[in-house]
Amino acid sequence: MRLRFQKISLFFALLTLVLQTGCWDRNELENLAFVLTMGVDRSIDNQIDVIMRIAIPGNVAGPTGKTGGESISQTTKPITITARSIPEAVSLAEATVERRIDFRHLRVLIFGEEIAKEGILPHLDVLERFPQFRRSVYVWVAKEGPARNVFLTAEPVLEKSVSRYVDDVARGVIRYGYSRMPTLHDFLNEVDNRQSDAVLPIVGVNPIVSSEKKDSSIKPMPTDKYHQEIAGNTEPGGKTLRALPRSGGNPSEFLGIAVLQEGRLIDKWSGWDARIYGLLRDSYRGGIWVFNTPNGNETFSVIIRRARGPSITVTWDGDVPHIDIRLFLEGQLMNVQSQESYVSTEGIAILESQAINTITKEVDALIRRAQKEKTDPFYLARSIQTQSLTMQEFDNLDWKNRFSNASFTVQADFKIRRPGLRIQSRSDESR
Amino acid sequence: MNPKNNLTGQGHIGWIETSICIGSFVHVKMFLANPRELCQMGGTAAWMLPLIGFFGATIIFFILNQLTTTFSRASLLSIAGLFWGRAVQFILGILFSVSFILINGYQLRIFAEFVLTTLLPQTPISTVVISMVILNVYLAFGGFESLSRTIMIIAPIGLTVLTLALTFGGSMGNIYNLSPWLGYGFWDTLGTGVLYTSLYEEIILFGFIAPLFREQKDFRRSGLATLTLSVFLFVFAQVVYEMCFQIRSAQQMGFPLYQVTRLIRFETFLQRLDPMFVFVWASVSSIGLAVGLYSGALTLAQGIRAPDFRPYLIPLAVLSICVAFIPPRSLDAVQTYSIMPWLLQVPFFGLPVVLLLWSKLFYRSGESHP
Repeated sequence: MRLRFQKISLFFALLTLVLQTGCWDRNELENLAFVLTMGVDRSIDNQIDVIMRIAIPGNVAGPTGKTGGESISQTTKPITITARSIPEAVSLAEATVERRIDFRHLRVLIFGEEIAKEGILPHLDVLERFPQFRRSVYVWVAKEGPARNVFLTAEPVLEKSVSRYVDDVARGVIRYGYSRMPTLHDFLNEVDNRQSDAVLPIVGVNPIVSSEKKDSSIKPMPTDKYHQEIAGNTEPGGKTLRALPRSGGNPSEFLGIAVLQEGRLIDKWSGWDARIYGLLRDSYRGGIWVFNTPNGNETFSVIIRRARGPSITVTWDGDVPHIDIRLFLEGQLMNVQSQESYVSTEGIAILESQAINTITKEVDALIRRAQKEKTDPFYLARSIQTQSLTMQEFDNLDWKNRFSNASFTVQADFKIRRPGLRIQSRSDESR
Repeated sequence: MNPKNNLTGQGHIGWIETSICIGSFVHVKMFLANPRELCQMGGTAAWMLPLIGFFGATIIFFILNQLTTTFSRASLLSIAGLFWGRAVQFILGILFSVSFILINGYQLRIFAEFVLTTLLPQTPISTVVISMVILNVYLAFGGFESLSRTIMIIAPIGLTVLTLALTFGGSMGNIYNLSPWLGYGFWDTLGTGVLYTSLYEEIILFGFIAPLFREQKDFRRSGLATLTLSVFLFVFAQVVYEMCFQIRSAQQMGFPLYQVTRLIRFETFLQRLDPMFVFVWASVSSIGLAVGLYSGALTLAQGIRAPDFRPYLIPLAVLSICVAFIPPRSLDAVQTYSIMPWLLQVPFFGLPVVLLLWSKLFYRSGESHP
């Protein structure tokens, strides 16, 4: 009986194999249109513009013996659909694109500034629910304008693959620290934390470089015209939200962060602020910092790395918190523009002290700015969270209100560990 | 009548194989919606619930051990028949069989819903359910020894992939998400933890397969190893899940452990590991579901004193499919399945306790053994 039963079971098992995924859920690559990047903007009549950049796989690799497309405009095609929601736009796009639209390779979702101010959480619901979207997708906010502008102007310097371009940008942010690149997962986790706020990177379109773009290529303008364009811009690049003074390259630039409260854009911080934010939020890993020398005439540059996570201690004076912040940084000297002889055990301490003063002042200014907005994207309540026993206790903290009245002290431990491959500058004649 | 008749032809079982086999049965729920439910009930202290439940389950297991020692590893239903007669044994057999089939049916449905939601959205749910049930019948037909041999082939790969997936997943997480440490409060966590002794209710199966053990020490070892393995995997998975998702997200996440594996991304080198995890998950689940079906058939056979459990496998599998289609929506299936263990722990844990009390208070050792 047993043998007969096994034969019958085996027959049915083989029979069901015939009915499996090959029939209903087959996915042929040549039948799919992979969306690599997507943008969402506020459109007219309370609708949204959904921009999808669809990969043209044949142009990425190119036919045998030939190279592929030269730029992302040749390896991808953007389409814009106006609809009431992302799912509706997707379904309408299916009616215009000959292949089935697929989001499994989506790398980034960009929101226009206007819709970010209204709130992006309603538009992220589909990304959380629909299995084709992964929580490892990056989310960006377009600075001063619609996301569509970013799509239409982006022209990576080297990459012709959009996915690699996005990954390179994310890696770059960790390297230079002028922004932060949270994934959808990181962002949603921060949104769900009632005692802190979330940030997203802002991507700007440089007007000078954008004006240089002609037919998918950038033709840098003459020097005289370039100098006319940047005239009057006295602040160092990245200190404010202004576009960088530059010509050529990719019109897109990644400096600064958007601060969001409950998914709504409430403030934008510059690239410099983003680095300070990173130090406090412990997302900063490294970057090149330029400081004025103590006499103020010239600059010196240091590669500053996070030595270890910041120490944040909150003590209470009644209902008013006092936050004690201590940063631990180390660096490598990159240049001394003034050619002064700071590179000695005594002299280098002067540079360290100068860097510490500048950093603590910037931290102080940024915290005060956040306090005015009653926002805490730094997640300073984390030390209270680990000291709380119950969720009710932590939820009832009303941290953002209390943070706005908090006093704080900032200390930075900073050592320039290495002077680089040269010791003193040329001005010094040591014996 | 020999009470071991319905275990005829199943051979004897080793303690390691049995531990992993019943451990899989216990652990199936962790691959479904269990981590989310634990977060809803225990908040940030959800990882402590399986730990607290473990102590309750250990007590129940020692009661089982005491009973099987006293009655020479007779099955619980045989002991019940000895104490209270055939009619009670019959009723209890039906009750346990129905309970196992209910568990099996709902697990099948949630498993199928997972497959449809994530991997095969166009495939009819009936195809997934029926395919799984045929596999379960095939696996269960060889009896417990056959099941345990099959799991021993899968276990090394399964445990390795699960451990890797959870370790990689954990590295994506944040330790802050585990605080505040006591969740909704100490007493709340303790009370909920005791309620979640039901996480381990499948250990009652030891009471029905006791005759398959050669020696009592194997029975004891196997039970304790099952509980230890289960608590380790439960706590490990729950800690990783909570580290990865802020508690408010964790309380609303569909198919929690699958979501953890979807987060794994080490640059471009190591990402999209979820298909590997799904393969392991499906393999372990198929064994777990087969053990559930086997348990239903075995308890029915023991209840009606039938010589063999095999003839009941297919009818019970059909019933299991019917149960799987009772809930109109996946949400209803998950909702009912989350309440079911709490209710089922009354008969599952109650029977050994009552039998032990009866044996101590009313049973005389001179009476015939079952």
